[in-house]
Amino acid sequence: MSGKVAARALSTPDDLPRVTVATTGFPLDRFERTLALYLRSAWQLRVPLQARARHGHEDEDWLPDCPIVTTSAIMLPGETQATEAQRARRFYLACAAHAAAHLSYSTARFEPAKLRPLQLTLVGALEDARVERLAIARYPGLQRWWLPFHRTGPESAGTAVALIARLARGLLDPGYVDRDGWVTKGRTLFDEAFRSSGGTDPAISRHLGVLLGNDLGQMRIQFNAKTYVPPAAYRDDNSLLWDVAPTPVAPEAGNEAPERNLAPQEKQDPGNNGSADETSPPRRPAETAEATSASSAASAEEVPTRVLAIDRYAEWDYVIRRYRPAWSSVESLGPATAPQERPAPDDHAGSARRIRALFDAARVHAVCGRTREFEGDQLDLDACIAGRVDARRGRPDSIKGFIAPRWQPRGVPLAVLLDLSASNAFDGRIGTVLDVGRQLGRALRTSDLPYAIYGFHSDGRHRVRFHVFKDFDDIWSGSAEAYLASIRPGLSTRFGAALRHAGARAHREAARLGQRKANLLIVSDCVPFDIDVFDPRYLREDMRRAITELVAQGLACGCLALDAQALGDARALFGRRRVVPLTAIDDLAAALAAVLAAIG
Amino acid sequence: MTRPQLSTADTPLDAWRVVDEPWYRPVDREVDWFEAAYEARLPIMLKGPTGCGKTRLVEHMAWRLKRPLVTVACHEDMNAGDLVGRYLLDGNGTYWQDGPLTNAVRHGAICYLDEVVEARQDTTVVIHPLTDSRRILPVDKRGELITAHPDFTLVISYNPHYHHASKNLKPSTRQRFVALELSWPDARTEAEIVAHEGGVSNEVASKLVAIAAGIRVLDDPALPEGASTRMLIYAATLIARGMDAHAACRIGIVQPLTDDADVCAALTALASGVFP
Repeated sequence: MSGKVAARALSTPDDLPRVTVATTGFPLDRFERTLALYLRSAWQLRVPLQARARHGHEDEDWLPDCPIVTTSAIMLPGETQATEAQRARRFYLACAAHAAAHLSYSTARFEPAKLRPLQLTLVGALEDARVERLAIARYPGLQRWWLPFHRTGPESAGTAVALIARLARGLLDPGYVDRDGWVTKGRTLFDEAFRSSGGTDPAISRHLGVLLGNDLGQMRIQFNAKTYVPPAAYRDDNSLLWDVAPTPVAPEAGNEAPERNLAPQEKQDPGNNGSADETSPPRRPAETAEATSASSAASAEEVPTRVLAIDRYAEWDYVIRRYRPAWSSVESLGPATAPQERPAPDDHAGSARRIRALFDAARVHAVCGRTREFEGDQLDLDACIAGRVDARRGRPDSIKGFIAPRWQPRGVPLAVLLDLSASNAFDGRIGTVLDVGRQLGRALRTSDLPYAIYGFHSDGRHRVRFHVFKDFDDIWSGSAEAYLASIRPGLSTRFGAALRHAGARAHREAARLGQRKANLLIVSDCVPFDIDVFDPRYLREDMRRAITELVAQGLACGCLALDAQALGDARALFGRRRVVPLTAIDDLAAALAAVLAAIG
Repeated sequence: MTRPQLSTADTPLDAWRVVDEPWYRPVDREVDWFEAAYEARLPIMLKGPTGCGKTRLVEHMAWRLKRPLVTVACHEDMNAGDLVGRYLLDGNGTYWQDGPLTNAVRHGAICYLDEVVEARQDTTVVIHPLTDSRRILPVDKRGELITAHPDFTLVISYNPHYHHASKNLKPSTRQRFVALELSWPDARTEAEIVAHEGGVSNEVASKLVAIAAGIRVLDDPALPEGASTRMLIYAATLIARGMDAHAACRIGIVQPLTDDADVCAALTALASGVFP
C-alpha cells in the first residue's frame, strides 16, 4: 500500500475533520498573528511561525505536509482547505497547541541508534500522548481541540498505521473503547507509567515505544516508515525528539536533504526543483541585483530632485562633551519636475478611517471664544439684568446668565520622518516605510490636522538628504505619492541632523499656528550609522541629544520601530512607551494608537 | 425656581457615610499605609491599573475611619467650579452652592477625585493649597478662605498605564501626595477575590485568573492594558448565574478588552483551553 493510499484509508472526507491541505483555502498568514498571540499568552512562547510552502505535488493524491517543530521555529502547512475560517483557525490552533506542548514538555532528546523505524514512530506517538496529557492537565479544553482529529476506530483495518492511530486515540480519549489486545496493552502500560512518574519523565515514551514496537514486530505486521504520516493532521513529524546531527545544507548527489532543512521562504516553485539555486544559501535582499541597484540613491526610476535649501546643524560629541557647531549639512530636496502620477489602489480605506479617527481623538482642546450658558462659573451681569427686566414684564424666565469659555479641538502639528537608509532594504522594511508615508498622507488628507511627511538618508555629515514629500502648507497629491513611491532605500542614517531639521520645521509650523507643541513621528529601524563615523556610540549619543533638544522645545517624539531586534536600543533613546514595533502595514492603526497614547 | 434642599448644619454629610463594610482583601500593607497617611492628614495618591481595587480601597478606608466619603468622577469637561462651587440663579437672584470639594473641606470628609488625570490640568490646580501645610481652600468668587476641617483629607487616583500624555499630572501636583501603588494581586489572592465577589468556586476563580495572567503577559498595541480583576469578577458573576464559562469569558473579558479580531481570536482560544 502506498503511503498516500494508506493515509487515504484513514482520512476519508467523512471521518476526518474537514481540514486538509490543498491548493485553495485559508492561508496560514491569515491566522499567524492570532497563533503568535495565543502562544505568547497561553505558553509564554515567542517562536516564529513559518509556512511550509507546497512544491512538487500538483497531482490529486497530494497530501498535506505535517507540521515541523524546532526549538527556533514552528513550521505549519501554508494553507488549509477548510470550508470555513473557523475550522481553519481550529486546525492551526490545534497544531500550535501541540507544538507548544512539545516545546514545553519534551525536554529530553532521544538517541535513535539501534531503534527500528517502527519503534521510532511509536516512541514519537507515545511522546505525543505524554505531552498532550500534560498540556491537558494545564488547559483541559485542549482535549476538545484535538479529539476531532482522531477518527480511526476499532472498525479500521489491522495495519500498523491503523493500530498506532487507534493507540494514539485511546491515549488521548479515556472514553474510547477498543478491544484490540495490543492497543489495550499499550494504554494500560502507558497509564501506569504516566501515573507513577507524574508524566514528567520522557523516558517512559522511549521505553514503552521500544516494547510495543517489539510486540508489533512479533505480530508480523508490516510497517513502511517512508509512507507513514502522523495519525492526526495537527501532529508534527516528531523530528524535535531525536538527537541527530544537522543535515548538511548542500546535499550530496543522490542524497537529497530532507525538506525540513529548507526554510520555506527559500523554497523554489515546482518548475525550479533540482536547480542549483535551490540549495544555495538564502541571499539577503540587498545582495540581489534589484536591491543592489536600489541601494544607490540615484536609481534610474527615482524622481530627479532639486535642492530647495541647505541648513547646517550642530552635532553633539559625547567624547568632548561639546557641540560641534555647524557640523552637518542637511539638503532639503523636492522633485525637480512634477513627477508623473501613478495611481495606486486605495486598499486601506478602513485603516485610513481609523487613523483619521485616532488623530481626531488626540486633538487638544483650546479656548476659542466665549458662549452664554444657563450654568457656568462667570456671571454675565448684563444678561442677568435683562432677564430680571423680562421677568418683571411677565415674559418667560429663560435667561442664559453665565458666560463660559468655548473649547474647540485643535490638532497638534505632526511631522512624519521616514528612514530611507539602506538598512531598511532588508526584509521588505522599505515597503513598510513607504506604505506608512502613503497611508498617513492619504488618511490625513481630509483631516484638518497640519501635517508633513519627510524622509531622509545620509552620505556623510556634509550630505544629509532630506526629502520633502509633503510640507505643512502643501496638500497631499498624486505627485507627492509618486515622489514617495519612486524612493529607493540607500545610503546611511545620520539621525541627529535629520531630527533637528524635521523638528525645526515642525516647531516653525506650531509657532505659526500659535501653538507650543508639535509631534514628530519617526518610522525607522532606529540604528544610526554613517560612513564617516566609526564609533557606533557617537551617532547614538547625538541622536539622544537631539531628542532631548526637541522635547525641550515642546516636540513629542514617537517611533514606529521596524526592527524587533533593535527595539531595546530604540526604547532607550525615545522612552519605553514611545516606541511601538511595526512589522506589518496592517498593524499601522493599532501601532499609531499606542504611539499617540504615549506622545499625545 | 427654588433652591435645592440644603443639609442641616449638624449632619451635613450623613448621606455620604459608608454604612456597610465594603469587602476588601489587602494585597500588601496598603490598609496600614493608608491609615498612617490619614493619621498624619497627608494627601494620598492611588496609582494602579484599571479595576485593581483603588475605589474599593477608598470606600473601605472611609468605612474603617468612619469618615464621610465624597467621590468625584473626574472628566475632561470638569472645571474648577464643579469642584469648588458656583453661584446659581433663582427667581430672587443668585445664591452660592458649595461644590463637593468645598463640602468635604468644610465638614471633614474624605474627598476622592477618581481618575484625576481626566480633568484638565488647570482644574486640578485648585487642590494645591489644600495639599500642603496650609490646608486651605480659597474660594475667590466669594472672597472666602476656608480652613480645612481637621478630619478632611484628599485622595486622588489615576491609572499610570493608560492615559494620554496631555493628561498627565503636573509634577507640582504629583509631589504633594504620598503615593500607594496598587497592582493586580498574586494569583492566589486574586482567585480569592474573584471567588468572593463573583460567587464562584475557587477552582473556577483560579481558571479565570489563569486567563488573566495569560492576557497580562501580552505586549500588543491592541491591548493597552491587561484584564482587570473587575472583569474577572464580571465573568465569574455570569458563570455563577448559570452562563456557560466560554460565553462568560467572551462577553466578560475578551470583547471588552479589544476590538482587534486577531487578539479576540487568540484570547478566545486561551479561554477555550482553560475551560474544558
